[in-house]
Amino acid sequence: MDNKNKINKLVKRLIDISTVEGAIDEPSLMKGIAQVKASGFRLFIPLLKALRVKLKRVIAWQTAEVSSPADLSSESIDALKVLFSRMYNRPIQVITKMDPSLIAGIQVKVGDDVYDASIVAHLKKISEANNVNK
Amino acid sequence: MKIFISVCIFCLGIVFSLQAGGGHEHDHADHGVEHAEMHEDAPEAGKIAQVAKKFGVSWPTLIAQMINFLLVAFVLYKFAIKPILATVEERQKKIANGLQFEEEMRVKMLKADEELAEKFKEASQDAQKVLGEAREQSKILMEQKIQEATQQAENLIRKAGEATELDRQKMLAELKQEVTRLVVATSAKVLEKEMTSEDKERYSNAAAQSLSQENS
Repeated sequence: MDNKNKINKLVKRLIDISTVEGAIDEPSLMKGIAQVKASGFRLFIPLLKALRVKLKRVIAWQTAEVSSPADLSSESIDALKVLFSRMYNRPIQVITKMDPSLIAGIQVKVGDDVYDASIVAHLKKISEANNVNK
Repeated sequence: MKIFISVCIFCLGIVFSLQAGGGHEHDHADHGVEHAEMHEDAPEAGKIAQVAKKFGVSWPTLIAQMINFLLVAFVLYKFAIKPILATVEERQKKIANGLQFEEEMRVKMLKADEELAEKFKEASQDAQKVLGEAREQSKILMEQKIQEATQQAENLIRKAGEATELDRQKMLAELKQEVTRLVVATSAKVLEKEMTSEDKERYSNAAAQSLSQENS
């Protein structure tokens, strides 16, 4: 229990010192990890595992995964980047992904939040509305 | 008892009269015929004495017979007549008691008959009353049961109607759901088939711009 608390505290500390302007700064993070290793921290491997999980979550919250069945214009991508950076109050990176199952439109995932503006989502809403109104 | 005493007195009277007659006869026999003229009734007394003598009646025999008679009468009275009379009296008393008891019983029976008739009358009245009440109650109960049955029938009809309406609504909802599902599925297939890449790109960019504008 104590080890887990120690690891969590250390992970939180590493992420805090490597965050620059709301984004993870990779050199700062590597430097911190090297220092921990050099100090001979006994639970170094569990620390790395916990750090990976935490970083994945942090990066997910700093990345907008935009899925669409067709290529998006750079203007649209920039607009989305500006929008989500402003919404989450930190720099958000946008990555695009092809998903033909959406038919048309886009679906954006930021961490656990999902913004769906696809035709499939619209049809699903129509279907759910009919089911609710029965 | 009275008869016995009367018989005894009668016998004694006969004996005394015979004695009186015999006395005169003795005197006359002792003194001879010389004194017969002195008395006017001497010829009658002499006749009685002669008859008594002729039949062998003498004073000692007569007295002995009287004593015997009295003894026999006394014994008969003591040991035969008295118990018989007691028995008779007892029987008479019993008969009288029996008659009295019979009379009492007759009166009691009459009274019992009257009481029985009265009770029968009361019981009949009670039975009529109970019967009337039972009829009234049965009538009320029947009306109540009819009302309950009517209410139950109405409830059943209402529930059946509600169930039918629910089934209808459920069926309609399922139908609507199925139609919606089919429409959505068909729309999706049609859109996927009919939309060109340019259309998809244009729609996707428009969706991104719309999202940006909505949340800005």
